[in-house]
Amino acid sequence: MTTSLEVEGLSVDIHTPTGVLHVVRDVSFSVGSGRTLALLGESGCGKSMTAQAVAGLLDPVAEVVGGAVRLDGTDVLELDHTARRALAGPGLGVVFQDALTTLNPVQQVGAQVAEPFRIHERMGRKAARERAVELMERVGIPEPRARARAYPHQFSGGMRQRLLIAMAVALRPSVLLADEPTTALDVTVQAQIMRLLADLRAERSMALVLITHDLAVVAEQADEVAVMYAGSIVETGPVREVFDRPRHPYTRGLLSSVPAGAAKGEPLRSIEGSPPDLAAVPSGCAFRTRCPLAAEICESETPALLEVDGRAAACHFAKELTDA
Amino acid sequence: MPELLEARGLVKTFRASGHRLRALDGVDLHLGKGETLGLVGESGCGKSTLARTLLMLERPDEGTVRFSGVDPFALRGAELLSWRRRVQMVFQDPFGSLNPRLTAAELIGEPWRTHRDLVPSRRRAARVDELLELVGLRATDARRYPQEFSGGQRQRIGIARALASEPDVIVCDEPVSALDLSVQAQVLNLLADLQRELGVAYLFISHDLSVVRHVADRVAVMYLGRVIETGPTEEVFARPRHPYTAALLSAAPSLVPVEGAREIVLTGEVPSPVDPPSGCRFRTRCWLAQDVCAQVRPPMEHGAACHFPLVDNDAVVASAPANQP
Repeated sequence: MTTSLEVEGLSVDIHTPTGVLHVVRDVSFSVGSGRTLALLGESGCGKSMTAQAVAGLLDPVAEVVGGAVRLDGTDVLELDHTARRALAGPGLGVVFQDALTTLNPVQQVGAQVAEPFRIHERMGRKAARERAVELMERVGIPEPRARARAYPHQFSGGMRQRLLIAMAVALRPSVLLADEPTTALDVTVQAQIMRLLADLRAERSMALVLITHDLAVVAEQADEVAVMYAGSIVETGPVREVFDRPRHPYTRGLLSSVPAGAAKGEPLRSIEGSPPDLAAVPSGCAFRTRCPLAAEICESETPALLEVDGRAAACHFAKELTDA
Repeated sequence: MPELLEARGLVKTFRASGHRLRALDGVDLHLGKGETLGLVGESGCGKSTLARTLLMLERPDEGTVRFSGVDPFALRGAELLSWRRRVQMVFQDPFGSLNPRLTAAELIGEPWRTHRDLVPSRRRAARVDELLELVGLRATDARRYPQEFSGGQRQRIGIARALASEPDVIVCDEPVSALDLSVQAQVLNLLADLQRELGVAYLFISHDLSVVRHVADRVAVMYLGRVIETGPTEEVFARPRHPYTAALLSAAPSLVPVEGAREIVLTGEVPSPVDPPSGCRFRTRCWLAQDVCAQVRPPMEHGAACHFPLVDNDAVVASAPANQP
């Protein structure tokens, strides 16, 4: 297995009229070919911002203020626009949540799926269209030749998501970033799309970075998980190990908030309060205000993400949780 | 237990650009006092139309609604007003459903401007404080505006507002799906506590099967305008009899993957409700479909509307299509 994507110490700030928000803080992870890493977290935890920074698609108000994003060994943050585009255009595919706003409503989908071939491989219109039809067939769009002439609104949500996936994998990227790819879809369609992503990942030895808030999706799809809270990774490791024996109180709280795990009629063990406003993240450990284990040290010292046997948790009491 | 709310044979058709869309196609439903009925189904199955009909926001083309034995659609004037009070709603979007110009106290007390006799004016401020406390907020929150609250807190205000008119039934339309997981659990706990304390019944609409399994006493599964399976929640989840229910349950990702369980992956998507399949509406995606399924609408028997209900789950696994993208 080779490391396809390596993110090291990535930090992103957003400039707002009232000050600077540190939305991604010193985030590191890596994912190898044919593997799936899930970035798991609740809204505002910085998982999408991390993905956008990796993909080079940050909003102008946001800025990468540190770190490296190595795609097959090359730090794309060091490259100029043209070089980055030449490398990351084919090398890194992206699928977003909302397929309706991502597709161009006034262009035939065949032309849109053909676009990567036209731009990056300088193919002629006809040849690119042929490749697009093949690709649409591969992602499970029935009658692809006829459907290539249709417009996005003539497709269902699931079919639109298939189109986005087709575009994202067109140039055989080594890394595919999927940001909540099934959140807007119904359960039975969600299962189809996850299956398609898993098949493509295996077939093309892609590294898949799955950004999601859904613990069950992570449990079923990912090899490794990185749990984010208030802009930082608080726990990371192989999914089964992390979910079976979480070492960070936040991961624990999340897992016990899932209704499936609780006995019927029993109250769910929820986490107190709600995720912090990024303008007012608590000092020290950002989770301490909601944490049942919080002590004085949590306020004064930010816990480091320390690795112990292939896993890591940023908690002063990680050892106690491990032994518990 | 005498039924609090009972619907029979509800049909509702909408006309849209020359098409006739049958959103409800003969729906039966009942809800007892203090009970939670989970309503499950994918988008376009008619669950929201059903909720709107039970709230009297839509008049059904056919069928009857009975609330404590009374047809609300026949009521007028004061009787209608008092019926309205007894059925309330909690909405999905805690950001869009609260007027940003009103304080929490005004939002919660607004129903009393219509139902004047419910709480005497001199008691109202105190009652707002009680309601705030009941839903886990503080009396000092009364003067704050919706924007000053988090999503979970706003949903609590929405619940307090529904409770202000002392309803017998609350229709919860995806009440936690806009909330983060950690906050979702708090709101689900609150809804359960309130039910125990006040004996209110919930019609709980959700696409999240694990949430429904946790909160609902009984569950009704809808597909293209019909209830295709209904029964006690645990029975339906453990031993689904309708192939669609089995597929839906199997498709939902679970936190603890069952070793050796084969996932049923349905081909295709839900057909358009404008042009639904004849007979059994699920037959175009069903791996058990026979000729009869296209010809005869399956009657509801033993909780499932299917010509070939599943009798044991091993057979489902053996016969179901799997591993096809």
